[in-house]
Amino acid sequence: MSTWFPIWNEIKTLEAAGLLVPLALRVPGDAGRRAMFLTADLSAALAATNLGQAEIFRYMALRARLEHFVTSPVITKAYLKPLRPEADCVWEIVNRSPKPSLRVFGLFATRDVFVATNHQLRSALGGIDTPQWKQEIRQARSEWRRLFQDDKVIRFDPLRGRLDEVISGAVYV
Amino acid sequence: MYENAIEKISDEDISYFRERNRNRVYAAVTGVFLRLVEKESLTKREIAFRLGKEPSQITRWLSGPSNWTLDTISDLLLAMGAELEHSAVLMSEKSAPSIRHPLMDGIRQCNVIELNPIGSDLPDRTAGTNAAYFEAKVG
Repeated sequence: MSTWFPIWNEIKTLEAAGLLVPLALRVPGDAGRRAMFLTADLSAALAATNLGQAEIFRYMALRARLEHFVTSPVITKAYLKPLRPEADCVWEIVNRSPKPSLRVFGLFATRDVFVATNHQLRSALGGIDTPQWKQEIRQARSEWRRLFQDDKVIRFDPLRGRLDEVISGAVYV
Repeated sequence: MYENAIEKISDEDISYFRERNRNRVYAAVTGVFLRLVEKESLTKREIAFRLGKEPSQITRWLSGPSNWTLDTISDLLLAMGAELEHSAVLMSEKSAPSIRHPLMDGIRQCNVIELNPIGSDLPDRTAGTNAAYFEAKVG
């Protein structure tokens, strides 16, 4: 982990400007194996206080699910999925409970560094390849371009690539 | 004295820790599975056979913890010849993290009380750590 990548400087600049927010761990002592940054909007959604009980449960479960990315020694393909079209390099973090569950979209800045850009209720997305999915993927990509202004994103070939190209501890179960 | 320290746990914490613990147990069980895949070429089909289940059921179980019950955990571990070693630690006594991603250096760890004030008599939140919290509440 000793290499410092140029894009990390950009991330730090965006963080200082309040445009990206690091996902800080809630429980002291947890290992920070990887890093996740949230857009300011997504971070605000996770920290919102004016929610009903069902939303509180949904968002706090999501928060724990996102922290799993940072802390877990293993990440399975069911947790993190590359979305089509692969040229967009957008990934989905899957959270299945409580129902209706939330999905988080984002892109990898480098291996083990994920920038979460937007989220949506799974129930609002419909089947695979619906316009709603495409809209979320487009939004993720446009958030990325707004932040980084070019294509420094990690590319991944879902057919030939292996998950451990983008994340340590990747396993196929 | 202890009675005074009892406060209702927030919905935020309840929800967060349910999911956190689901994920942690899931990581432990899949970790055993992966070890055995590597060491003994264990397959999901073998686990299914041992449990009298369809292989697709094992695939579903191993794909995520959202529907796991204690029985699921017990069945999966038993089929792998494993079990959980049970130990619970006080969060206030957890040691410092041994691994820290360089991008997260300098990021202050948030904690349970910082996000979810659950009463007006909380200790100073800006200086708050879980240890300080529990000392203030229980000590």
